Amino acid sequence: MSQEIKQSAEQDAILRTTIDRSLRHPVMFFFTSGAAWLAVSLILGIIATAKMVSPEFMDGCAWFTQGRVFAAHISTLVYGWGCQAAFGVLIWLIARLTRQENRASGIILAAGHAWNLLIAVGTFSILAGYGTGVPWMEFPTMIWPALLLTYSLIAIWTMIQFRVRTPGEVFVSQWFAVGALVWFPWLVATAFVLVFCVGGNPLMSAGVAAWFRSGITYLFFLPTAAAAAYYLAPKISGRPVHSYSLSLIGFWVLAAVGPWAGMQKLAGAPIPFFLPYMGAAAAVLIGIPTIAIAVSTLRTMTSEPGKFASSPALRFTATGVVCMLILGISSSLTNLPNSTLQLTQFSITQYGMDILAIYGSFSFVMFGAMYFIVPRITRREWLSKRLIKLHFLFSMYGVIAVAVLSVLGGMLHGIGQEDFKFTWDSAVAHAYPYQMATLIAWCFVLFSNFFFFVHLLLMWMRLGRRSSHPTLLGHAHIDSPHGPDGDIDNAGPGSVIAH
Amino acid sequence: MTLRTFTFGMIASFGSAWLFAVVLPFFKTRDVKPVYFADGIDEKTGVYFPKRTGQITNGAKVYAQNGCYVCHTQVVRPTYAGNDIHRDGWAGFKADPDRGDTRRESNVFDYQGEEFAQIGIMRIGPDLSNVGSRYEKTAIALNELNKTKLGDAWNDSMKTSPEALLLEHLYNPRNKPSMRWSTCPSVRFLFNEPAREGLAPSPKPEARALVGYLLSMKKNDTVPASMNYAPPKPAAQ
Repeated sequence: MSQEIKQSAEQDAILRTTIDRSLRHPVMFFFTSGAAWLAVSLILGIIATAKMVSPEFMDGCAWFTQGRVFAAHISTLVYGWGCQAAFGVLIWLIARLTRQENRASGIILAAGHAWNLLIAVGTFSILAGYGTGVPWMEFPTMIWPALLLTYSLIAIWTMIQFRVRTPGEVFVSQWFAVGALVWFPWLVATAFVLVFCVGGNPLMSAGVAAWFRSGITYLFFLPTAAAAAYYLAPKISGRPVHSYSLSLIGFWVLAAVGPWAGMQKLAGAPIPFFLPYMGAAAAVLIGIPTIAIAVSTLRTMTSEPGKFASSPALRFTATGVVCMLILGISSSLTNLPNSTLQLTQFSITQYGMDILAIYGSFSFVMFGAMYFIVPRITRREWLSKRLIKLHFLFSMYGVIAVAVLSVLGGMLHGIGQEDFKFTWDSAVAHAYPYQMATLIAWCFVLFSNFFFFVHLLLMWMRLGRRSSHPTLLGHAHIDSPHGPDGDIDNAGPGSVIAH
Repeated sequence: MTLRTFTFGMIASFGSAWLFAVVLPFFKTRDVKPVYFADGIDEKTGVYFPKRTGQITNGAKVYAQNGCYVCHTQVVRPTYAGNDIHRDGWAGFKADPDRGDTRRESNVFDYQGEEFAQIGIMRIGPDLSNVGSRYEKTAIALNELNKTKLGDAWNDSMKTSPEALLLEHLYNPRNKPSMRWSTCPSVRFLFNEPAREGLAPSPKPEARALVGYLLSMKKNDTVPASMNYAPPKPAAQ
């Protein structure tokens, strides 16, 4: 009997190693190039914020005029970093959860190169002054069908894997992962066709663009983060997901509510009245799924305090989930019609919410997932505990500052905008100190990500530690979340009986 | 949860919102029905025919390409959604010399000629729905001021046009002491540098198109009462 268990555990370890090896190149490519785009985006973000604080900075330079830099900053953040990190994590997650190795890594890798090329062309076009002027869809029109095609090459194999898996229960993590993989092309295709191909009412085109922005945030980034959190939390803590029914509520409320949100940004514009109100109601209800997801994943993670304290992956994931909770609650509190919606509709809150969603909640969970995945697929351990800590602390302080300052500062900015007894310069003055603080916070985030990028690059070049002891944040290796011998069997597949 | 339930749930949840909040409203609003002036209520009769002139298509492109929408909006919200109507000059003028209170919120005809309504993301700068009228008013006031100041030395060739004022602003948004607080970026790359010192920089075609587009944004026409939710006007004397 024990012989059988040992044998099946060995086979399990071999299978996991095979899956990891099959995906090593595409996943590492997505992570590393994503991190490079993140650095580009942060530099552009710093330039954009600096220009908001001090307009004389790089003034009159066409390529770096405020509007273009801001558009390039958001586009690289969303499509360069966000999408690529998500693709890397999602294809790995589905392969692991369906227990099949990926047989199309060459095609995925080629598609990944195409994706990067398209993002680069798109970003240059925006800076050169060929942007479309549609928020979050600033890349020139021709880029979008190519991006969709590339996406289908990346995701189709994962969807096939999901379809042909051994029949049985679909895991919580898989719901969110498949949700994200299905919603993303649906959103992009709809927005592309309606905004760029079918001539419609200009106002409804703007409405569709606002819906698209909210959709990418709540139906792609949020479920991807949830998928990774629902995978990592039970995996590292070794405990089952805290509450299945709570997760079920989280997923289905998100699926039912998320697609209605977005058009509250057009409140007061001459479009059918029910649309902004429906959007506001949905944006308020987004709080529910985030609470459900956060409670069940955090309860799972904290069920093993020792592992929670020492695992870098869990530390990042937990921070990301807390940011997700803050995002959901802020969405509920800042979208109330006749009260806070008019303050936040056109204030810097919007930017703060975007950053909280993309960098705060999504990216932190992605960093957590990367700290877990990269050692497995490169079969090397992270080099330095100190670099991980540095990345964590500076990123956390930075993003908390950006989010809190922009969301709360945005409310004050909105109060200034609404106070019509004062001239407009007083409204501008309301936002100014918060923009200044945002600039400093972005510098912190850039600093932290420089070290992350270097660390990741070294791992990609397979210069990581050859050890079977994972790099943990605590002092002793006895608490290793991967058992006393670690999970990475550097002596070859199957040599270590993993958990 | 089985795959069948999952797939059905996914299509039902996203599909219903997609259909009812996005696709159907999009196609239902493609053709805007004409609005008529009501007999007895409005001064005019017949169909409301909004006019908008200027280089709208080209100008909107320049506006979009340079990301003006990041800091400027183009919507005057009704009072239930914000206080935009009360901002000086945003929605019209409270005391227009000819027509009295002309303030009104944005209507669907304000965006005609554009492919994408630049509602905007943030209001770091002021709303631009009525920027054309504001600049016209400023130009008239400036000319009046100079006329009284100069007296007999004034002639009509000294007149400032709204175009010239707006071009000056685009070249250097902080050119006036009263605008020192502005954080608007200069778009001086849309101008040719002056050939020699002392000459004014000449605008490139893009700058002219942008100015044409901005000056076309006016809320100075009479709209049917059915579309006007502005504060009620005092009864005619």
